[in-house]
Amino acid sequence: MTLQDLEPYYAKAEDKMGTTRTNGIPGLPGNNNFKVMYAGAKRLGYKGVHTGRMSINSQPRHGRDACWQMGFCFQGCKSGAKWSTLYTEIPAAEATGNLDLRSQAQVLQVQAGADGKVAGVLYADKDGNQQVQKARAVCVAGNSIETPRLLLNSANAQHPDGLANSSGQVGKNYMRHMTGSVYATFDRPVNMYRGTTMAGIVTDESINDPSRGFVGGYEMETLALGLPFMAAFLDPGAWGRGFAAAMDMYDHMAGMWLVGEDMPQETNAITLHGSEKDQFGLPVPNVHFDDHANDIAMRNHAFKQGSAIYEAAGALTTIETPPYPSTHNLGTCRMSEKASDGVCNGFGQTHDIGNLFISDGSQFTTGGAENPTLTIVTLAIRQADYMAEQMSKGAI
Amino acid sequence: MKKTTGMNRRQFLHTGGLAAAGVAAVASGTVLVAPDGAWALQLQTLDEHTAKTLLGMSRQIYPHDTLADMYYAGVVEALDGAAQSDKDLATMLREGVSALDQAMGVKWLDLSEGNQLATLTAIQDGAFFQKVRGTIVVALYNNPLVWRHFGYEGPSYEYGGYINRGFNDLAWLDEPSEDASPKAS
Ligand code: SF4
Repeated sequence: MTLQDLEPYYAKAEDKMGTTRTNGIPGLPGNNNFKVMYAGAKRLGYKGVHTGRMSINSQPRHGRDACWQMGFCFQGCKSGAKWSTLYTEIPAAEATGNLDLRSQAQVLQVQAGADGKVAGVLYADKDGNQQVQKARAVCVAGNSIETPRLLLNSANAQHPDGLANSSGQVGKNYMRHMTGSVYATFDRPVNMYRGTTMAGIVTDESINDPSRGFVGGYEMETLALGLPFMAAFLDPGAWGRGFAAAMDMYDHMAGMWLVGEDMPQETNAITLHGSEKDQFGLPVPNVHFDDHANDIAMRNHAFKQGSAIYEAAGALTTIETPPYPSTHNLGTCRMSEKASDGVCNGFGQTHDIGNLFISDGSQFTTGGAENPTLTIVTLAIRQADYMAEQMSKGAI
Repeated sequence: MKKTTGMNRRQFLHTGGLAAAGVAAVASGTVLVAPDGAWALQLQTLDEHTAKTLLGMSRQIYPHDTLADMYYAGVVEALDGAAQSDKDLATMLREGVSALDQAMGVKWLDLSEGNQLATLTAIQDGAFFQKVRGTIVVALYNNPLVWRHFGYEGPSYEYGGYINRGFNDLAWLDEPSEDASPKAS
């Protein structure tokens, strides 16, 4: 699969999501946190510094308002400026009359028939009652932890190691991006929490330059946490005078997130837990992740560069914050040319079962350095076109 | 710019057992009263000495000298409330405090600041300290009145966001180029 194959679909995704700095949509106005990043990065000589390509309206579009600069983008944007399927694609799909949405349900098993195809799903509805839904095709999009868990929990006599798992790759190569944060305090107020949380980026380090001591690259993006999260995550477990003094500087702080490509490693994996079960009696997922030496070297470089940006802007102190517990989940059902190397082909169609598809970030073979939603949406649109074509040909 | 929050002092005082001393109507149980009478906390489970020591501990763990005791009392209220439905926690808090009192043969509250710190540092990896720290980090910093002290203005939906309330009012650095940061439309 090449970039050329994906380009028309990236364009469709950017249009659907209203990504700024594409389709003639202007960038977002920078907030205070961005001003600090910008000043420091420019003084260091960085070139690619702007308010990012954000799927947040910088002007009213498709019936949704422009960003109000509230700063709760991660919690769910109450003004509707930020693209979310909850109030864009899902209502649009419902309006076609072709969508039957069953919310608060959990699929327990994808059921395989004797003909080697999947026949439907067994699910628990919102009242906990088990139901079977027959299907011509099944697309799994449970994110990189629940997608492999579902395939593994769907094992049967014909597929003893789980569905679509003849390669043994289901659950393997779990990725979560190299991450970390740098916060810095200044002698004058910043009020970083005001405004769009992540509309600010330095792109210069997002290249492959092994002379830095690692392969792959990373982005530096503005980030602010509200006071309660800041207390919990600035320096997890820290207490005493030093920590309290840092918190006292909260409104004089600027912050950034570091996000880069982490190494796929087969030993980083989602497996089924040996004894713990969920409320339906199904094994819960066990998540194993270790940093690769490359991830550690990249984070070290990113901490140094992030701190240097703030020092150039006049920081009093800089604080290196370790990765937050939640991040981008990627990999675990990777694409591959050969069936023996991965779970699905370039369209997300599983090698083993023609009418079973992987439709989320689990398909990724590597994580890249970027926030992944645009690529996930791009792959999903392309997959939908492929499925429509295969169905009309009668292949599915 | 005038700072605003969604909750005023009066509302906060009436959300739990923590009350302004003048309006506290006490039926039973122990009451922790501020030395200056500014606030009073009705305890459900903990005894007065345990509660006072936990308050002192909270001040040492997250020492913000200009933040009034009342906010730390809110932390004790959270621990007291949790202990009400959790017997093991109540025991852990009582025993933890009495171990602190025995650590140097002088009641912990009567120790010098340096000695208080040393005794806490010695137990910082233990379950008691971790439980107290984990509870107070939430109870202290998630209080909208405490946000004011730190200059955090919180949610802004009801005010239409920060777009007209200073999201880009920083003026002590060079302005970004129009290309990097277009004007708000
Ligand atoms: S800042 Fe974030 S939460 Fe606020 S309106 Fe803009 S996108 Fe929505």
